[in-house]
Amino acid sequence: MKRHQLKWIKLFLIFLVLFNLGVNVAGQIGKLEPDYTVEETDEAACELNSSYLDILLAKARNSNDRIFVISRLSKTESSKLNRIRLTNARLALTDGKGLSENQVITAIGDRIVNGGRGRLEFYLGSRLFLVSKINKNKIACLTCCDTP
Amino acid sequence: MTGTLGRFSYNTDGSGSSTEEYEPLGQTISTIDPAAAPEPEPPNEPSPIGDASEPQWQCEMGEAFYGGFSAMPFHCQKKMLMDLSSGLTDLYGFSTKEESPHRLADSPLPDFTAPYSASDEMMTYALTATDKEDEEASFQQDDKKPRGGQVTVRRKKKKRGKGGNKTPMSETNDALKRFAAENRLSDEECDNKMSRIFGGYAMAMDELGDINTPPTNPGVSRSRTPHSAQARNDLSATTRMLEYDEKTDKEKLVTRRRYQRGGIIHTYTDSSASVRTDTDLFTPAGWISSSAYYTGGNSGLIFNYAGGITIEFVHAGTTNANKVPSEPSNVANANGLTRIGYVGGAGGVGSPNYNHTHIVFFSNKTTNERIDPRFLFCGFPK
Repeated sequence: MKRHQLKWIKLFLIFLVLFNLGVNVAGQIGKLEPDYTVEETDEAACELNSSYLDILLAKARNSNDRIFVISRLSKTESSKLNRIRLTNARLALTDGKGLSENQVITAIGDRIVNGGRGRLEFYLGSRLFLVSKINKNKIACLTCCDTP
Repeated sequence: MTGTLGRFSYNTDGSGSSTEEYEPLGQTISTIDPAAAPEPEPPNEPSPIGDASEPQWQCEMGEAFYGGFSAMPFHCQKKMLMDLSSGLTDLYGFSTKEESPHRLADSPLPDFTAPYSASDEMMTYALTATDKEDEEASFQQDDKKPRGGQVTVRRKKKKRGKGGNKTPMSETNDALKRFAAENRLSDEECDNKMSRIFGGYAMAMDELGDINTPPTNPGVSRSRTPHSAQARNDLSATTRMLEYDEKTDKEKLVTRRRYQRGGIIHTYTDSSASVRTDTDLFTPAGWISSSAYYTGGNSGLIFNYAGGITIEFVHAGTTNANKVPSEPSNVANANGLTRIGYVGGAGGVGSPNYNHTHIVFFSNKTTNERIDPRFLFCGFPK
């Protein structure tokens, strides 16, 4: 076999390895579309968020996966809101729904640059499960219901 | 007799009659024969107590001697009734002594702490006492019917002891008892039964999950506890959260009553929870007090029953512009229920379809103690 043929075969093999790696990484990252999206403008936003978090919790308990919560602000919101929203998300999951503290990881993500609203993203492992969109300068309503 | 004065009246046809005759000293003379005169009417004045015709010893014999208060001589009954210092409790089951305004029969003030007020007792009694048969609308025979079916009220005759056909207060005290199950129902049967009681498509959200729980979810518990029928009084009664004031840019940690503490069911407009306002919402009639609100985007109704049980309807549907539901009249229909609005009020109208009312059951609303409705209606153990 000629030398240049060997070179092409090597390149092809390297391409195959990289391609497989890419597929695996993409699989681990999971799909980018969430299973559920809740708009804060929805009249039943509190109830829907609470309902989807219940499902998320059931799955997390079953799989022992961690829940990651990422806060992303809109372009003009105060960075202070990141901490407030994440604290409330943590409290809703642990204090509110009884998940253990070490099963929840909170983090701050990039701002939404395309003019969209701020949001909380809930991941089960690497899978994006729920996106809860929040009105400007407000906190997410994650539990239902505020009654007398 | 000389000197007797008479007054006579005459008609135009010549007929006349004597009306009055008097003796010279003013005594009236009877114009008719006293032998034929009717018995004089007794004076329309109260007889003095202690009259010889009403001997006191008759009253001292006691009720037992005569076989009850109503069989006693009339003057003795009157004497007992005039004696306000003795409680009417013994006679009629209530007292004239001044009580808390909450417990007065016509008091508009709701008292959530009182177990059962006089007005409530009277209302409950009025709802049931006029029926000759026992009003116990028995859902027990219908427990296994699927949801949406017509409710049939089955009356069962009850053995009555001495004392006639009055229903004792103690039997009508608990308006919810008539809906209790004799045997433990399955989860599905229980959901069906609660659908027939409260209207709509009810779910306990426990083992059968919620309407939006993915149907194929192997190995994953579908229970939404603590947002399900299962009472979770093991969780603290309050929760914490951060509040943020946009104007002042300040935050503060607040403690709130824990909402997610179990004792919660949902009832949907239908099996798809679709957008509609024609699904009637009901509650058992015979509550002690009620209230309505619109708070935090939620329309709600609260009903307090005997024994400290409270049923709260969150997202109760109303057509009122201010979204505060009208408080319904406490009158039972043939099934022992009262229509209170429709399923899917403010706060319970979601997209995609999630139109529901959720119903919370408290054993003590003040302390936020919950009770599993399946214990009340489906024979589940406590």
